[in-house]
Amino acid sequence: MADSEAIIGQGTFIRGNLRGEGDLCVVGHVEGVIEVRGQVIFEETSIIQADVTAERIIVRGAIAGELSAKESIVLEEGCRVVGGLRAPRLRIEPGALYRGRIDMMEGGAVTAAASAKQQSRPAVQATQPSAAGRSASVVASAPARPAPARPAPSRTAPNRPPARPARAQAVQPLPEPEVQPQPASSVALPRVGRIRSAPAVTESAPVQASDSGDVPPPPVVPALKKKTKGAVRKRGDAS
Amino acid sequence: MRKDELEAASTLGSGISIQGRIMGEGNLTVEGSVEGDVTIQGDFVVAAGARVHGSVEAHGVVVEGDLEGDILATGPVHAGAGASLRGNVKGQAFTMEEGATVSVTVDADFDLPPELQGGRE
Amino acid sequence: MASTVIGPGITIEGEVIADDDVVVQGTIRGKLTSQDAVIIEAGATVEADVSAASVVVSGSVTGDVQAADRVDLQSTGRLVGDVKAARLTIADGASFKGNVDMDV
Repeated sequence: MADSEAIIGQGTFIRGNLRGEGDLCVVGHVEGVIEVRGQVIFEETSIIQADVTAERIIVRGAIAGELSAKESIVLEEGCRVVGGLRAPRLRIEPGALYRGRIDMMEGGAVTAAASAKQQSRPAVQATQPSAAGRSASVVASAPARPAPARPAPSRTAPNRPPARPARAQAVQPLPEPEVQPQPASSVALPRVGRIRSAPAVTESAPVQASDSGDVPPPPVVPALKKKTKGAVRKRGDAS
Repeated sequence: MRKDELEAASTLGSGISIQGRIMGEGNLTVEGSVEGDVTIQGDFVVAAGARVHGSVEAHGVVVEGDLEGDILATGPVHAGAGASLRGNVKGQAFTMEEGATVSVTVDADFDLPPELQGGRE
Repeated sequence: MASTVIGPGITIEGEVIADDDVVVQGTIRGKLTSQDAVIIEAGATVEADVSAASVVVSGSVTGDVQAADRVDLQSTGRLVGDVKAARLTIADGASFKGNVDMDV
């Protein structure tokens, strides 16, 4: 999996705007606008009614909307796409079904305005009428690149992302992982975020401790909690 | 029907230049240049280096060279890596390799899943 | 250069200009020009003026035929039109109606 990837799980429905840095993998259902500064993969079960803008777009699911990529668009076998394609590099594989207008000019310009908006925008929620018991929290606060936001609701109390505050620009505490009853607008994607299941442990944990001096929130690496401090010391000694 | 008409394959070599219409049965590969409409029952291939300017009606269509004109295919339409394709394409399905340069509007018959059938384009 | 074969099911209406050999098994209406050989096979129909280095007619040609080198009308051939060539052969069984000019 990509180093920093957000996943819209299969039981998830999002109606709204998705914007983010990094890569996105969509397995569920999205209606709205998707603007990502990385790669977007729409998996086989994805159902998308949205205009998509990204660096690279790979489609294996069904999309009705305009696809615009700065680098490339690939329509793989089994996909069904209706809408314009705009990218300098394009491949439509045998078994893909496509209908629409193709323009091989560069697309996918995620504007500066969009990313600036992203920075200051607090986490907003999307509605998900059909989320089968899973939180549709594509929540994010920080659009900040390094913020490994973990909106996993199964985690215990502190919902704060184990961010590296030194580098995070607009780190905000995560709201409750419950669905926010707000009207759908923009959802900023976390740099790293798994919407469904327990996140994996990352090596960022020790780094955070040294950077911030704050106690790293337990939920992320509970097993390492004690060891973390030890690791920090070692790092400090440069041994 | 003559035996050789059953598997008829015609080739318009690279040294050939045609100004006018081409019609008929069987498959046709163009390696040269055609200025005019092509209407055949078999498959149509625009080979690398070939240039066709005119509308094409055929079963399957493969473009490896230059084709400017509308395509009406009952079979698949494919643009290879070196292709340059411009026009309206109607066929069973449209596929293209990376490296092809296309400026097309594609029409193919298939349905989106019901959740997305808000209005077929 | 690859040569050209215009298969039996194909009809071309217009002008055909070739750098090299053209084998006609189908139909051409208009004009046919080749720098090399034109071979009109049995069953082919050419309703056009033909100009080539050499022309072999085993099918049906209606039009003037001009060859820099030679024209050969085979036994199944049928030619209605004028011929201008340095050399001309007409096989037994061939059908020909037109003028001949061998003064090239």
